[in-house]
Amino acid sequence: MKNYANPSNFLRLTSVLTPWLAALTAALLAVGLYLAWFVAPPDYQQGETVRIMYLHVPAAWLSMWIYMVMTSAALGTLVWRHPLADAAQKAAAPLGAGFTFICLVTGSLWGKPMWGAWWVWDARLTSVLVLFLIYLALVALWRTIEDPGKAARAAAIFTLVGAINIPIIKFSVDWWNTLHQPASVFRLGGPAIAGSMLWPLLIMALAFTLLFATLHLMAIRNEILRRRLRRLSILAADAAASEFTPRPASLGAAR
Amino acid sequence: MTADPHTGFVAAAYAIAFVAVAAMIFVILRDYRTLKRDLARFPARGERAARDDEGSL
Repeated sequence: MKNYANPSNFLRLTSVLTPWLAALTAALLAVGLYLAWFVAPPDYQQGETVRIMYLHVPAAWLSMWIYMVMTSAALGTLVWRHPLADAAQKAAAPLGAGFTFICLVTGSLWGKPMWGAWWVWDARLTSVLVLFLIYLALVALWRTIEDPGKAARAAAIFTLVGAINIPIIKFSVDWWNTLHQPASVFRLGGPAIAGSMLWPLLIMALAFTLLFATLHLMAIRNEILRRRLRRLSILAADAAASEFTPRPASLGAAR
Repeated sequence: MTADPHTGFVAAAYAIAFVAVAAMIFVILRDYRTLKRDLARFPARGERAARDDEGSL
C-alpha cells in the first residue's frame, strides 16, 4: 500500500486498473438495468413508479459512502499526511455532488406521484440537501484557496466537521416522524423487500459503486497530473526569471 | 409499462441520471485531455524533475 503513495506508481496502477473497472461497470450496469426494467415486477401499490428505486437508492447509498471515503481521506491528510489523501478527497467531492444530485432529483420524481409533492422539508430530505450543499461548498473551497497545501487542510477540517451529517441522514427516519419511509434493506430484522426486487437493487448498487471507483481513480489521476503541471510551470517560471536577472558586472581580472 | 400513468416520471428519472453520469464522465475525460496537452509542452527533463519532486505532493 505504501508503494502506491508514490504518484508515479499510482499512475501506473490506474492505467492498468481503469479499463478493467470500466468494462466491469458497464457489464454490471447493463445487467442491473435489464433486471430493473424487464425482470423486476411492478409494486402492488406503486406500480411502475417503483423502478425509480433502482436509481434512487444506489445513488443515496453512494452519496453517503463517498462522504465516508472523503472523511477517511481527510484523516489521511491531517493525521498521516499521506501524499495522495488530499488528491483523493478533492477528486471525490464533485462525484459526491453528482450522485447526491441524482438522489435528490430521482427522489423528487418519485415523490410527486407517490406523495403528491415534489419536495417536503422532512428530516431525511433536508439532511440530504445539506449533504449536497456541503459537497458544493467543498468544491468551492478547493477552488478559492490557491495554495494546494492550505486548501487541503481547510477542506479536510471542513469535511470532518460535515461528517456529523452522515449519521443524521441515516437515522433521521428513526429519530423524527418523516414522510420518507424507514430503512427497508439494511435493518435488524433483515430486508423488508421481496427478493425479486432486492437482487436488481443490489446489482445496481454494486454497479454504481464500481462506477464511482472508476471515476474516482480517473479523477485522482487528473489531480496528480494537475500538480505535476503546476510544479513544471513554477520551475519554468523560475528558470525564465533567473535568465533575465542581470549578472553583477565583472571588474576584470588583474593582470 | 407504458400503460402506467406515471411512466413519464420513471423515464425522466432515468434520463436525468443518464445525463448526470455522462456529464461526470465527460468532464473527467476532457480534464485529462487538457492536462496531457498542457504537460506535453514541457520538455521531458523538466517533467522528470517535477516527478522526482512529487513524493511530498
